[in-house]
Amino acid sequence: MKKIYITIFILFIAFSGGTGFSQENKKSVTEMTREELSELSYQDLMNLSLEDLMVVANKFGLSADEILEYFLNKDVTSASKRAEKSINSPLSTTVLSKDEILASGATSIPEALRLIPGMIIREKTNGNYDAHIRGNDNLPPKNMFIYSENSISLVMIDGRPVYNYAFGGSFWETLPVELNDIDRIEVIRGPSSALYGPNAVSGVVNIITLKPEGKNLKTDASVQIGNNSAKLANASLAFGVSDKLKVRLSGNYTHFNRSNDEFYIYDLGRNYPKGALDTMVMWYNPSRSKMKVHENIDEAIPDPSLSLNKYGVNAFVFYDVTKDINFNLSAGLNNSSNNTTTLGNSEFPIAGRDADFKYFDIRSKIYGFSLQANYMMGKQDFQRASKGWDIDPQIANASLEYEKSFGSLVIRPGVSYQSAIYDDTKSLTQEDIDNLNGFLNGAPKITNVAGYIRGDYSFKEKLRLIAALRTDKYNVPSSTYFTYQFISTFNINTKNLVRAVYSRANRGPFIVDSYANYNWQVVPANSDGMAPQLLIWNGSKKLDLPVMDMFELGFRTQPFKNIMIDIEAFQSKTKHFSYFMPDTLDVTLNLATGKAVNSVAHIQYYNFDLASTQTGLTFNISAVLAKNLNLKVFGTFQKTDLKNVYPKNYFNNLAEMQASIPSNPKLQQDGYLLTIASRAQTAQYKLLNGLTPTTEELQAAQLFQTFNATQLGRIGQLQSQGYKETYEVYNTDIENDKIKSSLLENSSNKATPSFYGGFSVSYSPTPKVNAFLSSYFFTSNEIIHSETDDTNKNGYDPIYKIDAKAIFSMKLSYKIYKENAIFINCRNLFNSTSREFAFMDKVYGKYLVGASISF
Amino acid sequence: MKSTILSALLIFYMSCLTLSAQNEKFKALFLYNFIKNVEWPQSAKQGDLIIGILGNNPITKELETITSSQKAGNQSMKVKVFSNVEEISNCQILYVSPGKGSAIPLLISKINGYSTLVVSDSKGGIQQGSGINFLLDGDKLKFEISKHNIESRGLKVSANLLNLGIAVN
Repeated sequence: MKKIYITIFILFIAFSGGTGFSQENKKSVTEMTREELSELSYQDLMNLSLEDLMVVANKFGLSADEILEYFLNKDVTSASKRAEKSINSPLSTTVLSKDEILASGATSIPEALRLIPGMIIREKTNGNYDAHIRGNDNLPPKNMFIYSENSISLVMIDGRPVYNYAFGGSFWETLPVELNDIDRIEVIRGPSSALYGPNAVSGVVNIITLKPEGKNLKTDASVQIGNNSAKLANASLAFGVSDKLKVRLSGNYTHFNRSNDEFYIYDLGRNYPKGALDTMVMWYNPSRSKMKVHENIDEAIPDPSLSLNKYGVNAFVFYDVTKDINFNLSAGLNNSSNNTTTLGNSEFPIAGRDADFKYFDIRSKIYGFSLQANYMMGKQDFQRASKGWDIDPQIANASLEYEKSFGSLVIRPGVSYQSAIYDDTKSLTQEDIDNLNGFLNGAPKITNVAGYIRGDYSFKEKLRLIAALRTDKYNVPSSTYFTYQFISTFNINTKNLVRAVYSRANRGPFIVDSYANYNWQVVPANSDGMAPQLLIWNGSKKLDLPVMDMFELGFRTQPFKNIMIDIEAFQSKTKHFSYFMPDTLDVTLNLATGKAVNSVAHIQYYNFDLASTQTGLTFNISAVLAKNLNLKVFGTFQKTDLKNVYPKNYFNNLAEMQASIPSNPKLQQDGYLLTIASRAQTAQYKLLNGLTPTTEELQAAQLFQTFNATQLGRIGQLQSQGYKETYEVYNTDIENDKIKSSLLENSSNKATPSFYGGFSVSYSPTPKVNAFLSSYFFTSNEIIHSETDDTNKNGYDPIYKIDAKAIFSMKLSYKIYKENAIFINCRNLFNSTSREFAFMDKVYGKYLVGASISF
Repeated sequence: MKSTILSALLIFYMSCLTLSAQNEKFKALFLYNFIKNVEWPQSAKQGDLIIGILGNNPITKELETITSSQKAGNQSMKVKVFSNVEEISNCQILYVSPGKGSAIPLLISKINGYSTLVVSDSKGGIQQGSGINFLLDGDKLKFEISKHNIESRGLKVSANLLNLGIAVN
């Protein structure tokens, strides 16, 4: 660690030594842009007339207060839906500005979130990330990757939800916008569905895009190249058709290769090249002959070295009709392919995903009314070459809100409608649909009609009370959810604020949980006849939706003009998790041979009594140490207690159900009837042929004569079926659609690190040079994945441990002329290669060089 | 991990010490410009041009940066800090720190007879006798100016400076 700081120190000193470069100062200060003004040296300022000096001071806002306001107390709209200063934000909010994002060198939106407190960001494969707000990872445990990824936070672009309603979560590679489009990212920690709608359970990431400032043509472009074939490029063009009508066009491209091109095979416990996946010997293959691990590996993973390849194109139109009437339209498309976590079960943890989306979004303000409507459609293959995962979304949102002030009270009622259709029929043949080979085999829809109201009352600028209430009526489950947020802030004085939040939020329904209608033919077939050859999955339309309740206390203080400290303590409780489990196993036996002929498992989605209680504290300290030196330090301490954990997974359930088949009463009865009939027959044969039957056979013959018509009929029926009969065994852990409470345990969730945070330092020794150093760290954490459960594998450790990690990143940029710069960008500077996400690739440093132009 | 956090906090606390007041930089630049826009009587154009500062104030450092490289006409400039009114000696310009605003009436009598431009930085400074008074209008740095208070001390003020300031009489 010492070495690291020495290196940083040397780098700082090296750059501090740089001298200022003379400025071309032919333009008058009134004509100069904010950026050009920022380049004026002290000498330039001394040469200015008082008149010009005042222009500079006012135009650039170089008064200390403005600089401090800019860095410490940025405007935030997310929490209040109106612009206000961060210090007054009633919720746990952090704003990341465009300047900070660009200076930091973050290569993607999720990576930039590492600069925000309360975020747990893990890199899976090069450039592909999982982002959690405050955690609640891997719930319920012993599960597939879907449940390790975040599905309880809402990501929005300018208020448009970009959420995966199929089975939850946000796929960062499918966002059409990139960092060059962003004015700021606002993150709200804590349940906020009363303000933002369903899925804002652990928090909200609201990405706000840029609006062109002036009428003049402005062009920005940036390129970066680096190791592992990293190529990042973006460009944008902004211009005003008139003072009222402005347009911005932008495009982005990102490519990263993986650090290796091998795949981890769960069952064999190590990595193999793709070619080997065609011809592996798997431990469970009784013939021990070579077999395919994946049916069509070339289609699933055409390029094993690819990590992420994506592009997006966007157009933004801003039309300000009058001060009180405006229209904003954005439209765009994006395309992505990446190799990252599988979502379902697979022999290896990496799968290919593809997405191709188009969207439009219209937002308008007409006096007190705010209207937003948007539509997104396209193709999304969640797991390439696996039937059922190619599900095309069509998402529509519309909302209308009205804001009215009554003195110190501001009321904002609204209504919204949301519809999400996921259609898998386009990727299936009619035969597939008939055989239920898709997940949905149709185009089911979830809808949500909501009404909400928000009241914001201020008393003498000291006390502020906010209440947000919302009801959501879903089509599945056909029920109404009521969520709320009660918030109060108290300004002790202008520099100290205390606040409290009590809120409830719910997650929305998922298409797959509600509508799954899927026959999964097990390939390769299970060699054990008792083990299911076919899994029939069914969603449930009556699941309770996950709900989080939270109480939070916050304190913000500016002890000095240049320092802002923000502390929040929270406790949240989440319940109504849902998950699928087998409830019935139909085993067809040949009673003549005693062997299983076929086995079919029925799997359905159920609610669990699992409850997760999270207690934590987040701090964030920002300081403007000088105009050219800013610092941030932040971190979160937390623990998660779990109640009512079901210690088994669905493999365990299936194994137990198979084991219970011999004791099935119907099978025992049939076995008894057939045994008696068989022995009686033998007795008869022996007597007819002058042989002596055994005592057992004679007893059977006597017993057989007492059989009634039903018993004889049953024997006849079994004979006519060729002694093949199907027996149903049930999952006895389920009682009244719930898991028996006696089976549940309490534990703690170690999947969320007990501490995570970071710091960043931005330093400009001269106006032309900026060095931005950032660090992100988390303590060790562990997940229990269904594929690592020891009961169905050869003694592998069921817990996948991720070691504690500190990642340092640095961008050094030098402005050659005006805003045109060249830079060196090192992500994971010291090449700390330990894995950040279970089973995924080792994470290597990204070392990039690049240039940006702006004119 | 622990050492990372500790080191981060250490950097943070050490860096706090390097705080520099940006506002004072601009006030110093304004003062330098006031000098360019005010004409002193011949008697005050002899020797160095003294910028007096009443009270400890970060503006001192900023003014020293300016005076080390700039001249007022042919005169070199020097910065002199007075910790109280008693210490005040002859100077061409006297900046009264915000905390010393209440001392203005007293210092006006103390500098009686000197050709001094008094620049205050507190509410009501002009009414108490200063020539120019800084004020923050929202986040903007502005100044009030009294032609009467300046010229009564034998100085001439440019029309430009009067136009740029908020006239208070």
